Amino acid sequence: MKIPNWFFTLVAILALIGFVDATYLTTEHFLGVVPPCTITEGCEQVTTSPYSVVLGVPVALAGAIFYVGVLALLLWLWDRRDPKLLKLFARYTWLGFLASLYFTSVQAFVLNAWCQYCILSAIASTLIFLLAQYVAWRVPNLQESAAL
Amino acid sequence: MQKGLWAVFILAVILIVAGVVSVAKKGNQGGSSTIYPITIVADDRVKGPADARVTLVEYSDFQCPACATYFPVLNQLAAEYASSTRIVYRHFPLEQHKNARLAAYAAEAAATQGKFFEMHDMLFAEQTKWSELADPAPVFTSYAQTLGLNMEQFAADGASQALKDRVERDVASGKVYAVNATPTFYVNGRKIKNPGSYQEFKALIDEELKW
Repeated sequence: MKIPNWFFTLVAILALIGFVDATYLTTEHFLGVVPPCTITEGCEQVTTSPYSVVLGVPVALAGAIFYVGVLALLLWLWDRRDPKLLKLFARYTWLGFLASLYFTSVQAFVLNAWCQYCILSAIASTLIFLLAQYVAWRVPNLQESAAL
Repeated sequence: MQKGLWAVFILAVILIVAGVVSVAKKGNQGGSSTIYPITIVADDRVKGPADARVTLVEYSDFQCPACATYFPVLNQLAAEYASSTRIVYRHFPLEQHKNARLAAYAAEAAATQGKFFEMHDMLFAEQTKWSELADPAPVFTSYAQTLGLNMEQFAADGASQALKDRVERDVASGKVYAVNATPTFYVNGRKIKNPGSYQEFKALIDEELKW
């Protein structure tokens, strides 16, 4: 079976962006200085809200770990090219997509405030999700059509 | 799979984390070495002696949560350095805080009756009670009553154009001194990184007093 190279490149870039972004937010979280209110970004209401921590784990840290998982699975898939791994990868990306959906809604409907780094991460994990679903759906099809 | 590949992967992850953490830490320093020629004028809101060796200027917003967390810190500094430091409060109400300008007007209206810092203290102490109100004016009026102000004068001053101009003058000066967030502090004209604790703040003032 053949997974296109652009898939690996795109997902790797997106996951790296997401990883750097989430790591940055995690660092800010643990530095713990009260964030000032800025002219352009508001008061970081989002990253200091109760929604920024779930069961004692900062959401940013969970995000960073998620992206490490994406990169690790991607590397494994790149090495093995196993259709089962591709399925696993596609399922794993649901995590990021659902979390993004949830936290974007919290920003829109509960906090009425936006955090630009959170939006960036939501975009990255949604794109990773879409790419993974597309390739996971497409690649077995390609294989079948080749077999015919 | 080759073990080497995973070793490279883990190393890359560690390097990225280390890089991002160090950049984030640097970003947090945010101080500058520029000395701004901030002149303190007669109607500035000042706590402390005019001949103080250290002048701490704060650009602040009554509705800003970070400003409220610095409020007890500054009070403690004012008490401890009463003879050597003067603290100047300047208005910098941000657009995203819908009640911040009205709060600044209330404080200025109290100032005309000599009770600026009394109103300032109440506004910060009770910040969460009025921040999200659709109309905070009755709350501010009740603070003025508590402070025993002349209510007619308070209402008239609060609506006067001169008082609004006074607030905008602070905002304009803040823009000149590169204020881009609240609170922003200047120690003898030098913009500082917001200190993480009372001790850090104290150390900055002690450093100035050495000279």
